[in-house]
Amino acid sequence: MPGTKAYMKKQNLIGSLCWFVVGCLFCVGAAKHRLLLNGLPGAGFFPFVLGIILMTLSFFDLIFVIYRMRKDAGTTGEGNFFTKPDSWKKLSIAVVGLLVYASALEYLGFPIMTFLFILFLMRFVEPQKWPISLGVSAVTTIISYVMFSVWLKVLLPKGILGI
Amino acid sequence: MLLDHLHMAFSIAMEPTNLLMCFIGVFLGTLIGVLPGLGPSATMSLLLPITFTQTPVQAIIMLSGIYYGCQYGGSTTSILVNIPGESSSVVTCLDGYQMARVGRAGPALGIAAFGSFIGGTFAVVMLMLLAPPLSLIALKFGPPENASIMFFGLTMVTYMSSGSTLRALMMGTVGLLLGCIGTEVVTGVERFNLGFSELVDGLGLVPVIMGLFGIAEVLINIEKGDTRNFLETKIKNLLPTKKDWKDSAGPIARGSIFGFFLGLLPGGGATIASFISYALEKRLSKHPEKFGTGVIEGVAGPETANNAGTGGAFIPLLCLGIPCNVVLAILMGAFLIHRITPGPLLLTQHPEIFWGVVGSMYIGNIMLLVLNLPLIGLWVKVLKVPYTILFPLIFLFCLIGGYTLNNSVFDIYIIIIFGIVGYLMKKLHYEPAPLVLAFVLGPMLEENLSQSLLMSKGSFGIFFSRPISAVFVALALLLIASPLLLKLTGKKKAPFQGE
Repeated sequence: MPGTKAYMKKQNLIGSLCWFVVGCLFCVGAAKHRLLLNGLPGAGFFPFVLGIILMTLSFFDLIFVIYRMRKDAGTTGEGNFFTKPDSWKKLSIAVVGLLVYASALEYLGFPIMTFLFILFLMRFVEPQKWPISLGVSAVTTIISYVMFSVWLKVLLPKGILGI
Repeated sequence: MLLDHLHMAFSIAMEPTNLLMCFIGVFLGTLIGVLPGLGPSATMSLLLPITFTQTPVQAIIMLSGIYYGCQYGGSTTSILVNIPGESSSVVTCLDGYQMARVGRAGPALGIAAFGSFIGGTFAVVMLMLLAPPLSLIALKFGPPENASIMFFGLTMVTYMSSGSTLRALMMGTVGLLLGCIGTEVVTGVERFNLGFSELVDGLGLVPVIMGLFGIAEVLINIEKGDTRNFLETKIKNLLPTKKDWKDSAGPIARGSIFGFFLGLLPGGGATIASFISYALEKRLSKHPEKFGTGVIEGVAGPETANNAGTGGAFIPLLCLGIPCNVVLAILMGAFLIHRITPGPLLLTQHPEIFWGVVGSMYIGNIMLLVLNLPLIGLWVKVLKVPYTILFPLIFLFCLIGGYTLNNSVFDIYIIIIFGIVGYLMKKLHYEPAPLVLAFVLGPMLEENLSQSLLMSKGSFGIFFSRPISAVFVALALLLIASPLLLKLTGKKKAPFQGE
């Protein structure tokens, strides 16, 4: 895809920076605990050292990405991070569905939430016809309920309706 | 002595519930091997919560069955759809699909199944012969040796990654850091729990893996869309001909031996074994130019090697307590969840688990041969299930599987967070395999490191003064420096795909 290489470099830059920040945060968190205790490693020693290592590695990664960006400068145009133009929509819908499922599961209960979740994904991520969506949602809910609650005796959330 | 062990192995494996668990494991393994988009890592993590209700023997038998079962299933999609079901079946696409295109799908599938059976059985025999003496040697290891072997194992996995070594090292470091979350083993200090009581015991292995391998994989597939082109061909003559057997005998024999020993290496396993087998057969062939056009050697060798490699990979886990790839790291997680520590003491403290697994692997390989040939028609139908129907189910099983661990929505949020992180990692070519392996080994590495430094009163020299430890540390440092050394000599690292 034209320009993908250049665009991905910017994403790689952000990625390297993020890992650098993660390393920093772990170092800061580790420093709150003792690094050394009577000459022996304390609770903070191992994560502190690892944080430094991560910062070092991500710094080198950052240098490498900047080097490649400068090397490719002017040779490629703008491009997309996503494979297809509408990919970001599908992914956003999927992630929203996941988060809503997690948030409402204990409130609405497993059967209702599962049915709505599957239906939502089948209608809005890769749209299927209503009969298929409703059918698959219903069958999946029933089978998963039987499998987890009846067979494996897992305590699933019952929600406001108590089922 | 060996006969006694065999008797124990089969008496445990032939118990009805263990037989059932073996069957479920290999069946599920074949199924997920057939279905692209869901690998053994995600499936094993999905089923980990279910194993809580089982005995340790049943749990390990089932999960092991999934691992070597998926090697069988992966060949079906490689041959019929030209999309590898598993990374270890990538090379099978090269010649297997070409055989299917000229109406030889049946012999390709048949020789893949028989080769897998022979390779898998060979590996089990070697496991049975090598594991007891190796465990005796490993009993002499102390904390410095354990720490250095784990360090070497982690380094090997990062070296074996397909992408940038630097990034693999970064991910290994991140995995070790994630393993620091929770209560520190030696001092009992709580670290990085951010005020959440759920993190006092650390991040759970299951939610992390489900997120990185389950949710992330589905997000990637949603983005790409379902691009499978199924080859409409009649599948007949599953039994290879005499000529097929004659052409395949050498590759199968070599695949068994090389595959097994490659599986022993940390970072090794089925994938590397299959790649090297293909390269070897091409080199040894009188007509290497025919590879890639549909030669049976290109299917027989790799498919044998990947199953032999799967068996070989069990030895470091069971005898040393070192998982050499991410799938076995999950299996190790299963051991730990059932409060069993794999390693040199496994044979003495829990012989029923070791020999039960060995016995079930014999039986599992027979089951797989029986499943794969007559049920080809079923697997073909499964392949045709649209991904648009599969992906919501995968999401659901990931989320509910995570919820069942502690009946807590917190675990679901962890799965989702790691799913998003895993998706971004894949897009930016940061491999999750070194992260997961380091996450599993990290707490043990820190514990052994601390104990070693206690023994030496804070001196790191202990890792160099003890010979076994010194060898592994030196090898690890050499591996870390190898990309730079290779660059200086003008050579490039050969890419291998992770499990």
